Amino acid sequence: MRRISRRTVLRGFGTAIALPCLEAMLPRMSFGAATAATVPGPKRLAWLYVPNGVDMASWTPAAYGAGYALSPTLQPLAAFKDRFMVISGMVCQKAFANGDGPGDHARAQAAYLTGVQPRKSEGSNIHLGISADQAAATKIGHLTKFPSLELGMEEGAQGRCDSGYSCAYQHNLAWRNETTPVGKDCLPQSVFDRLFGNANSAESAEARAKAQERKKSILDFVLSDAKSMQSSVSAADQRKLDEYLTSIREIEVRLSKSAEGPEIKPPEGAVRPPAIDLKGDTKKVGVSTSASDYDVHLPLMLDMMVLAFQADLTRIITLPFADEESNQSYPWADAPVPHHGTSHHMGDPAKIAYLAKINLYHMKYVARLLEKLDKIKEGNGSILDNSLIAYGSGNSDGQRHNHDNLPLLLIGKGGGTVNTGRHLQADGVPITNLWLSMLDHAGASWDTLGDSSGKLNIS
Amino acid sequence: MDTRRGRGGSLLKILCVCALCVFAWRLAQNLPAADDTRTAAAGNPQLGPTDAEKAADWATFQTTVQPFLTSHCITCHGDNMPEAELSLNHFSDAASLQHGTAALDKMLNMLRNRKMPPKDEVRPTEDEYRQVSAWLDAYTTKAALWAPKNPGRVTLHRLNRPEYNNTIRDLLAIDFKPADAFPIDDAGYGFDNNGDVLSIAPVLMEKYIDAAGQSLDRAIFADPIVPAPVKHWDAMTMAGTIPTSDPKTNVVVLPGPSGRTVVNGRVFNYNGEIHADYNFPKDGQYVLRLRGYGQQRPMVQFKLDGVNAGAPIAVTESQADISVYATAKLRVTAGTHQVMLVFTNGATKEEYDAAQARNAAAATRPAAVAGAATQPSAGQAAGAGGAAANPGRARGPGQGVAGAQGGRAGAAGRAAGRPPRGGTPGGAGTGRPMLGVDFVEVEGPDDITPERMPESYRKVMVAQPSATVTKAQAAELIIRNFASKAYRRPVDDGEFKRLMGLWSQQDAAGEAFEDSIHTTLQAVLVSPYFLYRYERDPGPNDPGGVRTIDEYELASRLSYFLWSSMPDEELLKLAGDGQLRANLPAQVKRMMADPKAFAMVENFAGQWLQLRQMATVSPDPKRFPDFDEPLRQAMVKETQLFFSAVMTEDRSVLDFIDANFTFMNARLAKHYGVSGVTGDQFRRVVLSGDERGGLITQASILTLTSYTNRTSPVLRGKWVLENLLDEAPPPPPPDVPKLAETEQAELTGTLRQRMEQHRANPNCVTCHAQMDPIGFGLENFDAIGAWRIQDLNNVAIDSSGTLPDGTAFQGAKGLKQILLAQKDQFCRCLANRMTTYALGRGMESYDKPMLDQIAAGLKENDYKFSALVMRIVQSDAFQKRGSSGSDNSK
Repeated sequence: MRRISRRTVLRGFGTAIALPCLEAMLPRMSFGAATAATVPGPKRLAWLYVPNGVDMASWTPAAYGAGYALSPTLQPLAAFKDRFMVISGMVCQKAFANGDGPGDHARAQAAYLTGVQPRKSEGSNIHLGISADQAAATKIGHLTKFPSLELGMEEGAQGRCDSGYSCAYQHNLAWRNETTPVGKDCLPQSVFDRLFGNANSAESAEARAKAQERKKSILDFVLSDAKSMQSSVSAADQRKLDEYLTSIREIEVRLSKSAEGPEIKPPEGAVRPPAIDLKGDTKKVGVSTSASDYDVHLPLMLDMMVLAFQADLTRIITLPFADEESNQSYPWADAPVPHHGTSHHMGDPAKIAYLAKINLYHMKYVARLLEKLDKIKEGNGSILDNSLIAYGSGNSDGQRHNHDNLPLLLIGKGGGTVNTGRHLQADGVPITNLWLSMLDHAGASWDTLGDSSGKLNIS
Repeated sequence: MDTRRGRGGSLLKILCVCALCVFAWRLAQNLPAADDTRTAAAGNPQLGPTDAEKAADWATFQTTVQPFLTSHCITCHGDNMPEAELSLNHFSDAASLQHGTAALDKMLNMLRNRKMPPKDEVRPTEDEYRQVSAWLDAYTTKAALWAPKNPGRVTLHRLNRPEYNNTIRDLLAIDFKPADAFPIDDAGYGFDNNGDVLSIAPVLMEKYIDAAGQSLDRAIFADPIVPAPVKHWDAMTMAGTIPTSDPKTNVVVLPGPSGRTVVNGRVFNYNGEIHADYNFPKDGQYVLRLRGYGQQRPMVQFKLDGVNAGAPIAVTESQADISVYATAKLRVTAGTHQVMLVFTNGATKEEYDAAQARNAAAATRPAAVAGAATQPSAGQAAGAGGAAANPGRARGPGQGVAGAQGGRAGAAGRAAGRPPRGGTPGGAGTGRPMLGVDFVEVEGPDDITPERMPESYRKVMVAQPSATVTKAQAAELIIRNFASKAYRRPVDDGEFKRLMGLWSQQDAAGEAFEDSIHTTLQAVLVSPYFLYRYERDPGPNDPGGVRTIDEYELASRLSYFLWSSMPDEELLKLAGDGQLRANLPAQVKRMMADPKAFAMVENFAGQWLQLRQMATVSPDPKRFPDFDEPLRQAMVKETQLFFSAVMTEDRSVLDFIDANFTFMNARLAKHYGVSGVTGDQFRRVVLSGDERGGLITQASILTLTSYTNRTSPVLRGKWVLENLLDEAPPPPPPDVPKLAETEQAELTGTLRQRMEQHRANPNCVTCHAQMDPIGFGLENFDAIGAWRIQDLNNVAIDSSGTLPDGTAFQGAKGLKQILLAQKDQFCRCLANRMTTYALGRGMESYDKPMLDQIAAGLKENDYKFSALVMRIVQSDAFQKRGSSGSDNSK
C-alpha cells in the first residue's frame, strides 16, 4: 500500500513548516489521573529552591510547635497554615568548605539534594552524587511518562562560575549519578510541548501512530550505533556514552507507554504558554540586571508544574526559582537590586529590607502554587494534600554563606501521613534526612543519601 | 647547560628577593636567559636534568618547600595511611624529588586554590603560599619537559549549541538554529566547548530528535524555488456560453498603492461556463486558478474534459477586492484537456432575460428613479452594502453591468451584501449571485525536480529514482553521501548496511521515497557518531599509548576550532587523499580567511574576554542615561571587529594590549568624544592621543568590569590579571564579602581610602595589592567606559597606581606599558586560553612545555596571530591522542 507522503500532507495543509517530530510523544496515559477519582491520588514530590539564602530574621517564626505564629516572610501562606510545616535548624554539611576554600554558592546548590561534597573541579573530573529527586525516580519514576521533570528559571551564565567550580554544580539541582547532572528546561513553552506534544491537531491518529513507528525505528537504530561505539571507546568515555544510552532508553520507555495508553490531552483550560525571553529585555536597559520577564516566567513555570502533576505525567519535580549567585533583580517586589550582591548585606538595614522583600515576593508565588494545587481535587482531598514539596535554600544567611540553620518548608500532607501545621525544631539534622523521609512518605524509600544519618520524623 | 643554570639562578633570586613580588617573578621569567632555557629545552625535551641542576633544585627545595611541608603537610600526608593517599614524606634526595613530581603537582593544585591545609589547621601566610607555589610551578614545568610527552586526551565531545547550529547550517544549507532551544551548555575552564562538562540528558535527547526532524523537513520537504510553468488566459478571450461583455464597461476598480487599478473582467450574469483547451506537458501535479470577484458568494467549479476537477470554490463577496482562488493540486496526465470554469449558483439564462425585460420596462418610467442610479449615489449604495472600507472608490460588477445595460445600477449596487428584496435586485436584477472573472490559469506540473529545488534539497537528495535508477540505488547514493558528511568521515560498511536496513524497512512499509529517506537521515542526525566528535583511542599497537589522529579527525579538530562547525568539502577531500597534514598551513590560512572564522570572534573571543556578558550588563539608567541599546551593541561590535581585524589581517597579538586603531560608528564615536564619524556603519578609526587603544580601553571591557552605578578597580584589576596574564588571584577567603559590592557611592577619594583600609587586612592585602592598582590606572574611564577627568563630586580623577614591586605608573597608558613589558606572560596566557578552547579540555601540568613552545613560537613570528593558531594546530596535543587525560586525583 502506498501511503500519502508527508510532503503532500505538509504542503496540502499549506503549513510552511515542520511536521513536529515529537508528535509521537503525545501523551498516552496509562497510569494515574484516570484512576485518580476512584482511589487516593499518587504522592507527588517537589523541591523548590531559592538561591543566596534568606533574611532569617524575617523568615524564622519565633515559637516552635503547633501554635506558632507565622513570621513576616511566611504571611502569604496564612491560608494554608495547617497544610505545611516550618523546619528550622537543619544543616547541609557538605556545602561548607571542609577544606575546599571558597565556592559556597556552587557547593550550596550542588550539595543541597545530594548531601555530597562536590569535587572542586572546573570540569575535567566533576564528581557529586545522586540527588534525592533522582533517587526517588529510580523507585517511582517508571509509574509516569516522565520519571522526573527538571525545571528551571535561569539558563545560567556562561563562562566562569563560582571559585573554581564547574558551572554544572551551580546550575543543577538534579544529578542522575556522581558525574551526570540532569539538564533543566527553562522555557515554559518547551515544557508544555514536552508534556502534551506539539503535534498538529489536524493530524490524524493514523499519522501520529505512523510517526511513532518512525521514531521507534530511529531509536532502535541509534541504540545499535551507540552500542557499536561503546565497544570501541575506552573506559574514560563510557561515562559520556552512558548518558546517551540512558537518554535513548528513557525515551523508548516513554514511547512504549504512549503507545499503550490513551492520549493525554492538556487539562481543560490549559493553554500553551507564550514564549519567554530568558535573556532579559535588552531594550529596557537598567530595569533589571537579568531577566525582565521573570515576573511572568515564574508563574508560568509553576503552572507547568501544576499541569504535570494534574495530568500525572510525572510525580517528581525540581525547580530552582533562580540559581545560586543569581543577580536577578526584583522591581516587582520593590527590590530593583541584584539579588546576590544584595545578599552580602554587611548588616545594612536597607539591603536586608530588600532581601526580605525578595523572600516575600517568592513566597507569594509559593502561595499561588498552593492555591492552584489545592483547587485540583483528588479523592477526598486535593493534589496539595497528596504532595510533599520542600521549599528552601542551601544557604542560610547570604552574608555569611553558612549552611546550617537552613530556611525550610515542607508543604503538603503526603496523602495525610505528614503532621503539618507546626514549626519543627531539627537543629543539626542533615537535610538529607528530611529528603529520605519525604521519599518514604511518597513510597520511594531509599536507605541513605549522601551525608544522611537517618530519617527525620515528619509524621 | 649554562643556560639552564641561568634559569635556576634567576629562580633562586626570586625566591630570596621578595615575597610579594609576583610581578618581579614574571619579569624574571622573561629575562633572556630564561627564554633561552625554554627554547633549548624545548629542542631536547627528554634530555633530562644535569646532576648539577638536580642538586640545585634539591637545594632550593630544602630551603623553600621542606619547611613548609614539615609545618603544614606531613601530619596528615605522612607515611602512615596518608590522607587522600598522598604522601609528601618521601623527599630525601635529588632523585626522590624527580620521582615525586606527580605528588608535587597535586600539592601545587591544592595550594593554588588555597584548598590545603584545612581551615581548622594553622594556615600558611599568603607569602608562604606564593613562595611555595611559585617554586612548585617552576619545578613541575621543568619536570614536564623531562617527562615523556603526553598529548592528553579529549573526552568524547558532544557538539555544543553553536557547533550544532553551524553544523546543521553547513550540512543542510538551511537557515535554522534549532540548538537555540536546547538547554544551555555548561562551561568548564572558561569555555562552553569542554568535552568533560558537555553532557546529554533525556530532555536534550528529545530535542535532538526533534531538531533533526525539523531540520530535514526544511531541507527535504522544501518548496521549489523555481516556480512551475503557468498557462494564463484572459477570461475575455475564452470560449464559452457566457457572452463576452464590453471591456470598457466591465470593470472593477482596485485600491492599490499606485491609486486605482482597473481590471477588465468576464461577467457571469447567469449560470454558464468559459473554457479553453490546453496541452498538459507531462503527468504531474497541477493547480487550476482563477481571479475573480462577485456578489452573494458565487460558486464556481473547474472541470477537466467535463469532469469535476477539485472541490467547488466559493468566491468571496467583495466589491473592493479581486482575489485569486485555486484548486488543490490535481494529478493530471499529459496531453490536451479542456479546462473549463463553470458558474453554478447564479440565475438561469431565462431568469436573467426576464429580469432584463423588467429593467427595460422600468427604464421608460419617470426620471426620478433613474436619477437614483447616477454614479455618485451608486457608489454610496455599494459602500453601504459590501465595501464599507472604501465607499465611492470601490465598484462592484453590479455597477459595471448596470452601466452596460444603461439601467438600474443603483438597485444592483444596493443588493450587494444584502438579501435580495422582492424581484428586482441581485445579479442584474435577478436577485441571484453573479460573478466576474479576470483570468484563468493552469500552473504545473509542480513536480519536485532538482532543478527547481533550493540548494538545501539538492545537497541531500543527490539522486532520484527514475526509469534507470531504482529506489534502492538512489537511496544508497543519498544515504552514503549524507552520512559521510554528517559523520565527518566516510561511513563504514557495517554502518552503511545498517542504514540501508533502516531505509528498506521504511520503504517496505510503503513510505514515499522522500519519507523513507527523511527517517533514515533523521537517524543519522541522532546517531552518536554525529552528535559526538568521536576519535579512536590509541590501541595496544600505538607506541607509548599515543596515536596520531587520522586526517578526518584532524579535519574535524580544525573546523570545530576555527569555524565551530563541520569540515567543508575541501577539508574532507584532502583528508580522504591523505593530503591535509601536508597542506596544513595553507588550509589554516584559508580557513581563517573564510567568513565562518567569525565563530572564533563569537565563541573564542566572546568567552576569553567575557564579551558575551555584555548581553546582560545593565548600567543604572539614572546614573548613565546615555546608555542605550545601540550603545550596548556598538560596544560589543567594536571589540568583535577589533579582534576580527587582528585575526584576519594577521596582526600582532600585542595589538590586544595596545593599538593605534579601532572601529567606531557614530554612536560609539560620540560616546568616546571622537568627531567626524557619522552613521550607523562601523569604520576603522586611527587613534590619536593617549586615551584609547587596546582592549582595556574599550568600552565593552570597561563596562562589563564595572558595577551598575560605579567603576570597580577590583573587577578591572582582576580581569586584567585573569585574562591577560593568567594570574587569576585566588578567590577571597570565606566570610569576606566583596568590598562594597553594591556600594551606591561613586568611587571617590573616600572609597579609595576605604579600599586601602581593606587592603590593610592581611587576608586581603596580597591579592588586592595586585588587583586594585591596575584598576586605579583605568579610573579615567567611567562605568560605561566614557572618558572623564573628574568624578561626580568634581574631584579630579587619580589614575595613578603602584604595583607591589613598587613600580608606579600613571593611567591606562602607563598600565599598557607595564603589560607590554610582560608580553611573554601575555602570550603564554593567550596560548593557554586558545589551546583550552581549541582542544576543548583544560590544560594540565604536562601541557606546560607545549604552552611554552606555542608562546615562544608566537614571539619568533613577530607575535602574529596566525603563528599562535599554527603553533596550536601543529602541537602534539592537537595532532595526537593519548591514553590518559586529566589526573583524577586532583
